[in-house]
Amino acid sequence: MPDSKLSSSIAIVGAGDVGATIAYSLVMNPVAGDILIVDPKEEVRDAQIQDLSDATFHGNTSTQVRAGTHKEAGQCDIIVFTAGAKQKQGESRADLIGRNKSILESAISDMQPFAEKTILLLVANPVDVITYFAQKYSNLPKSQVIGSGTFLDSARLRGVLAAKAEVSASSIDAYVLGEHGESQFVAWSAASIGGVPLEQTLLPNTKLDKDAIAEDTKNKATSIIENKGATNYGIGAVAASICKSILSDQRNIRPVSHYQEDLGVCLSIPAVIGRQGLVRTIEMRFNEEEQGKLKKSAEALKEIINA
Amino acid sequence: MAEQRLKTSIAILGSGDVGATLAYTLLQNPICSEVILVDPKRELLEAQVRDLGDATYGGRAATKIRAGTHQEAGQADIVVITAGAKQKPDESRLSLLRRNLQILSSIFTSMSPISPHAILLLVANPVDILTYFARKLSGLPESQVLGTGTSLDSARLRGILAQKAQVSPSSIDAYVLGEHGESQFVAWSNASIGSTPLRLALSQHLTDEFKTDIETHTRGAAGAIIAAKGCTAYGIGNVAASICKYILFDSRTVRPLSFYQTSLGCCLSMPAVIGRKGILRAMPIQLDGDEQKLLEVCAEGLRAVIEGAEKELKADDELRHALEKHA
Repeated sequence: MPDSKLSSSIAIVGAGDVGATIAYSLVMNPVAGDILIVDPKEEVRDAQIQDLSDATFHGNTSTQVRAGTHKEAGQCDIIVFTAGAKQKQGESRADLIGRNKSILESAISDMQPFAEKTILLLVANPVDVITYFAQKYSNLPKSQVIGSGTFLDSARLRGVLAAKAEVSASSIDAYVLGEHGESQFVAWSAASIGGVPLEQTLLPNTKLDKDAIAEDTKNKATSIIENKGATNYGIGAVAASICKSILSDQRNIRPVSHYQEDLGVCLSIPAVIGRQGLVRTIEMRFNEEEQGKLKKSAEALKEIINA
Repeated sequence: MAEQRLKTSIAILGSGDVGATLAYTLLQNPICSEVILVDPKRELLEAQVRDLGDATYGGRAATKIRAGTHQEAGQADIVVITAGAKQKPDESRLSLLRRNLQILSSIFTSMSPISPHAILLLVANPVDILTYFARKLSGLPESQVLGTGTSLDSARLRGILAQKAQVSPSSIDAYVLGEHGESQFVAWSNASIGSTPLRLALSQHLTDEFKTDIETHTRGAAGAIIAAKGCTAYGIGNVAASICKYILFDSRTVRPLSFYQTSLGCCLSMPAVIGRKGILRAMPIQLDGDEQKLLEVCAEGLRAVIEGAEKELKADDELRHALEKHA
């Protein structure tokens, strides 16, 4: 019988900018003792490991970063999946999804059999679709397969509102929900500051152009990618935060992509996160408009999944 | 009476991989109220600030990030210079150095008048040479101009010794000193694990071959990373952030950093006590005969480059004046 693992470990599949930045965040804010980087491109993988390890030789020297196989990844406490092709010029979303599904399927097959309590955290895009198929391919309990979903979008939304309300973003409760993509929507009816509904807390003479804010939040990634080629710091911080919530059994509430029984797809709704993964979904009181948007999001995702 | 300072800030010049990763480190482990990122490449700068901003909306975030001007940078508590020209294919080292010195000179013109309390931390390469010229160009007191020097190399040394000795890197005291470059050397005679000298801790393993292997590894580590992924960022980002912390919190930590060596006429890395005023003092170190020789070779090489660069700059100046008079 295998020895029980004595220290916690996180595997990161994909040694590109996103994977490496997530690893770096986990080095700066230690959550696990062991970080495994998995990537068939060994030269890049090893260079990232060297660079990351350089950051563990002073300050936090408790975290080790090393190369791992898919098999070893399957035994880790958390597997963060960042591997995926970028959309090529002129390529359709359907084609992109097709390519990323094969990458996912092959990686999961190499990681099997998974340790019983492993949590699979999907970051690769389109994240809701990838999360759905990851659960199908891995056969892990649905509560153990989570996608970063609209967590980052929600952070961006809070950043915009923070500037308008002149309050720290972390003191604002506001969510972008649904698909992480075109059909994502802001749950305005649930937005509040200090327990008071958002609109009642804004300073006099502050107008809120809700549509513009929602659009800007949705398109923020595109504008960053156009000028620097990728986004990595935002998603790096967010993914590391989810890892912390899981390993520390923190029970904080996060909008992450997970399976919705009634909708038959994975999309983001606020949920309690802990060591078992998705502890429970929060029952949101959406207004009619938001209910409609949620349904539309689910339909859009269902179409892609069944394509 | 002096105005009460309401916040601490760190300015980073250069929003490439090193500058942005340093900024990210300062956001993830907050030590100041504000990070100001500066770069003439506006679009890249703004994209980096937006991406980095996304990392400041969580509960632990206590530092803000924004794009700023050189003028604002000159008023920060610490100014980190990561900006530098990238080596063009087939470009000579002299040409690259000349371009970097021009960038440095223009940075100081744009920051002027720089706050008399600013600490200048050079990261861009060749760091020992740039630290030397930054001293003159900035007009700041000697102690306030320093370079990261061999602090990252020393971290790598500790990493590999840690592996061999099977202890934590933080339990190893060992320095790479001298130039951050080819002529760097390991001060083996001073290396220890806590109070145990290294030769006692590693005994029969500490052969000449072993030492050479380690020195080669430490010297070539950056090159290997750059060849495979295009840059190094995490190691230097983390080290530079630590140095910022030692400065801002006046921690009096001892680290190998590049600063002016009066007896050698150049900047290179030696152990120093670091605090709010920068290099508070050098930590005396006793090198053995061989190490002393290596230090002198280092210094000779750096002085030669400095002299050569000073001649070039003087010639450039004379040429410029001549052309202006002629025009």
